[in-house]
Amino acid sequence: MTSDEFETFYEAMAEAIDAIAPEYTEVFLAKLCLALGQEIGEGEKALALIADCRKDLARE
Amino acid sequence: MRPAGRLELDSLYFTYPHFDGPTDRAHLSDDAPVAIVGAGPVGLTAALTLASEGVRSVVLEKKATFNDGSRAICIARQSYYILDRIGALKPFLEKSLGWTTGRTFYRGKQILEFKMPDSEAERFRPMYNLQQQYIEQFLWEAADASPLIEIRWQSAVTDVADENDGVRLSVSDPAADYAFKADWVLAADGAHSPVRKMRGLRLQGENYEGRYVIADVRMEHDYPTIRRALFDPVCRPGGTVLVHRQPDNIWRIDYQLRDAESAEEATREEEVRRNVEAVLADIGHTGGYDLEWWSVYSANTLALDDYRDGRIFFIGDSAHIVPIFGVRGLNNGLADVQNIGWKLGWVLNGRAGEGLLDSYTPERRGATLDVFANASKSTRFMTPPSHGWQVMRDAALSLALTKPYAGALANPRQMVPYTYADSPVTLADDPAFSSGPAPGSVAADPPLDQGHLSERLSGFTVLSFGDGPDKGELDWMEGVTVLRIGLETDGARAYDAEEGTLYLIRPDMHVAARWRQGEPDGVENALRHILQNAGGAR
Repeated sequence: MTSDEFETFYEAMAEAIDAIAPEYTEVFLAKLCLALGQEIGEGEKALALIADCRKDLARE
Repeated sequence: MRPAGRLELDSLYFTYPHFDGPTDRAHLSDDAPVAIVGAGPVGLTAALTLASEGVRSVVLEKKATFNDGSRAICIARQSYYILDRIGALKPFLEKSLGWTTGRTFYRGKQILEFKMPDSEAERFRPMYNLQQQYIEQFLWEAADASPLIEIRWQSAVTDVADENDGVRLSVSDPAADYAFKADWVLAADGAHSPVRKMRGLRLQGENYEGRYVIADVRMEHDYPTIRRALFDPVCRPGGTVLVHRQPDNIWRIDYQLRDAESAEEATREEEVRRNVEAVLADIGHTGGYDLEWWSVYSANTLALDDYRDGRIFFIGDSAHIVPIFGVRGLNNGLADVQNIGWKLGWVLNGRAGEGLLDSYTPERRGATLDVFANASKSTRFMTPPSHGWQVMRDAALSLALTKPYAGALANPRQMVPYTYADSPVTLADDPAFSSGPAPGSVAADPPLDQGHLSERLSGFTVLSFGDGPDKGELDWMEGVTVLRIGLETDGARAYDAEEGTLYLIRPDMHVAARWRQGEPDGVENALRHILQNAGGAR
């Protein structure tokens, strides 16, 4: 993925979150993660991303 | 529970027999080799398993008839082998409905069709549906015909006291109270096991939040014997529904209760009818229906730490309670029976040391923990226990509408036989094998020239492939059968066998040991280890 494509993906996600009803946000994001996890095709890499993304959520 | 105006045993299609307490009373206090507490499917199968080993038993049942209502309805393939072994198979095959396929729907659209492993070469289908009262009736008919089994109805066990080399059971029946001594006791007295309470033992584990109403209805409904699971259906938004076909036009409907619904309210007849009718409308049933029976259920994973307490063994629900999803309650109980049954039989026949009985808990409790692991996965999908599980479950269902791989997460992981890998009587594998059933696992059942391999197993069976050792060299011991199987056959392929390969198969169809290049001495040493050393050492 080029940096332009990555930015487009970022923007599309923002627009999708705004477009869907708020009560579905969480399920939408989880569904997307499942689909992306399958696309990665490597179990360990997918699990490592879960661990990575859990970091730095709260303010230090 | 049953509709207003009908008593507990007033079924639409099944006539419950009434059994009197013992009338011939002269012998009631006589010693017995084995006492079995409970005449449910597990207790009766235990009596029949012991009888097949030539061992006499007394079965004590506090009720005057079979269990009311349908309860367990799914019998797994491996349980049919058990029924075959005890000579009770025929009526089961005639009456039950075999099935292979399950379909899962999300908001009315099919997201998964799973097929359990099956083929023309298999002797039995992966699963059969049959109401529990038929299961009990067929087992009772077989037990009643056995001269080695005495069933005492309306006989409650009120005390169990350890004695030298036995247990003294106090029994109360309508005519009198009495006591008798049994060498061994099998407690098959169910989830609320009085024997377990008398021994001061408790089940340990978890209760899940999800509650279901299970209801049986009679209706003319045109759908094959396929398990249907409905997630988030119109009839029960956010909830889950299961639909199973049973013989006699009876259909089992399980529907999940919402957190706010009280069990008391949900089991009122009008409420059950309203909810059942909504499910029927959802599955496209437009004709009428009769309500047969209903109950409420919640998922638990509970087990005893040790299935043995002195000379008492706990079998079936008295030892463990498992969630219904994956149909492991009755089937797991029957596997307990098969395991302790042959071991106790061989000990009482003098062919094995008492230490063999110590392998019962590690083998069967191991199986229960494995069931918990699988059933917990199914239960978390059926009734998500927390926000995280709920979000991911809903995401998976939504994704499954377009991506079949996500539908696979909804697979209920039906029961498969457990491998007794960590057992004191399972021998180390021979690394020369590249496939075939390893020690501890259930023996393969390939078709032979006539019938299947399983039809020729008896006692411990040695499979000898090609021109390997024959009966004369191996048949040195009572209760050991030798079966020669040719090379280039389905049998040889199923066992990854070559000239000289030997397998030792236990009476419960689990592989005890195997040798790619075997010698009679090796088999003899293995048997000695199982029956006398690992088995015998206490």
